[in-house]
Amino acid sequence: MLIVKLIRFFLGYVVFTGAGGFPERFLNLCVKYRIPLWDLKNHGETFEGKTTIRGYKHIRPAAFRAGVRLRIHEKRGLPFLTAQNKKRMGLLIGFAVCAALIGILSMHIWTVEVSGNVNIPTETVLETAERLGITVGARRKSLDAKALADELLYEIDGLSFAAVNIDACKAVIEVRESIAQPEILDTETPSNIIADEAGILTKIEVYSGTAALPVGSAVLKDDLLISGVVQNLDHSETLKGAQGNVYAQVERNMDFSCENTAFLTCSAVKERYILEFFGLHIPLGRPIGTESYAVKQYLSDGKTQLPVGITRERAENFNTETTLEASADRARFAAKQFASAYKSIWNDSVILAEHITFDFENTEPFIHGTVTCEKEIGINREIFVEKISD
Amino acid sequence: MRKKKSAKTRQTAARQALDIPEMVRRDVPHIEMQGNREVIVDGCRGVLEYTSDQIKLNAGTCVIRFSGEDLTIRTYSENQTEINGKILQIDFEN
Repeated sequence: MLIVKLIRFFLGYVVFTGAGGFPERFLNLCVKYRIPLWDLKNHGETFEGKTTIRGYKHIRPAAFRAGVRLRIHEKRGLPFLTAQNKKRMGLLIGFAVCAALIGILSMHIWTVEVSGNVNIPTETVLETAERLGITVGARRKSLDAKALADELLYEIDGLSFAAVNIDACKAVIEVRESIAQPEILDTETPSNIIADEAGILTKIEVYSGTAALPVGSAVLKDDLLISGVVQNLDHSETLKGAQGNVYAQVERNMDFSCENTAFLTCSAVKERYILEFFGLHIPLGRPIGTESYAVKQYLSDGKTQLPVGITRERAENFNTETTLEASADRARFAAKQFASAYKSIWNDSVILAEHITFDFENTEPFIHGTVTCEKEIGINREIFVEKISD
Repeated sequence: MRKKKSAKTRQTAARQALDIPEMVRRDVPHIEMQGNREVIVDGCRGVLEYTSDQIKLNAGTCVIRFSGEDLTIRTYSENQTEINGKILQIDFEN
C-alpha cells in the first residue's frame, strides 16, 4: 500500500466533500466515467472522498447529473507543493545542490576501517593503505580491491591474509596476522649460565648442564651458575649448551631527589587548524614548521566516523632551562621518579621486602628506598672451544 | 416437438459436465473478507445505498448488503470495491 500512497503523492490528489443529491448515483457515474475514487467516508449529510487531479477535472458532469455539490477540501501531493513554491528558487537550488552533493559524495570513500589485527597497530595498516590509495576521499571506482589486498600483504610484514571490502562508502580492511615461528633453542653450541648480577641464590632449575652452586649461595656478577660441562658415567666430559633458570634474591637501592635537575620549558607555542573534508586538507593558517604534532578529530557517533573533521597542529619550542622552585613540586618530581623505578622492578621481579623513607635534607626532598626482590639472574655465555685440525 | 435449450442452460450443463467452479462465471461476484474489518468485492456493478451503517452493492445476480459501523469505501473502481469498517452483518438479496 505504501507504493500506492507514494505514487498518489507524486502524481497529486484532491480531497473533496460532496453534499446533497444522490451520492450512490454520483459514485456509479464516477466509475462509468473512469474517475478513480478512494477513501470514501459518509458523514450523513455530506460525504468525503479522494481522487486524482485528472479525475477531479472530469468529475463535474457526474456531480451535476447526480445533483451533488462538490467542494475541494484539500489539495495534496508533489504537483501542488511545487506550484506553491514555484517562486522560491533558492529552495529548488538547495534541493538540486543537495541531490548533486549526495550523488558526488557517494562515489567516494567516507571511512576506512581495519579489523582483525592484534599485534600490528591499526595506524600501521592505515598508513600503508593510505600510501596505496585507500584513503578517505578516494574514488570508489578507482580502487581495485583484490590488487590492493595483495599489495597490503606484500607491504606489511606479519600478515597472513588481507582483504579490502568496499561496502558502499566504507572501506573495511580485514587482516589476519601470521603466527611467528617459535625460536629454536641452540642446544648444540657449548655454553655456561653465569650470574648477571650479585645476589643470594633462591632457586635453581637445571634443564641441561650441571648446577655449579647450591641454593643459598652468595654470588657475584659473572659467577658460574650452571656449567655446560657434563661428566659422563665413564668420567669423560661432554660440552653442552647449558639451559635452566637461576633465581636470586637481589637488593635495589633507589634514592631520588630533584637536586640540580634542570628542565626545559616551553617558550613558544604555534598552532594551526586544518579542516578535513572528504580527503581534502584545507589549512586555516600559515605553516608552523616541521617539528609539530597533529591531532585529528572526525565527526563520529561512536560507531561510524564521517570524513569531516578538524586537525590541530601544534609546535612547541622547548629551549628555556629552568628548575622547580616550589618544594612541593620538587617532592612530586622525586616521587614520580621513584614510582617509575618501582614499577620497572615490579614488572620483571617478585618484590620480597621494601623499606622506603621520605625526608627533607636542607629543604631538599629525598626519597630513600631499598627493595629486596627475587629475579632471574642467569644469562647464557658461550664456551669458546678451539678446534684443532688433524 | 423437441424444445430448444437456451444458451444459459447449455452453459450450465457444460460447466457441470466439466466440473468448472462457480467463481469462474463472470456474473458471480467474488467476495474476500479479512476478519470483519475489510471486505473486497470483485464483480460489483454499482453502489445502491451508501451510509456509514450500511452499504448495498449490486453484484449482478444478487444484491449484497453490508451492515456495520463506520463503513467506508476504501477503493471503488469498475472491477473492485473495498469496504472497511466494523462489518456486523452480510445479507444477500435476489
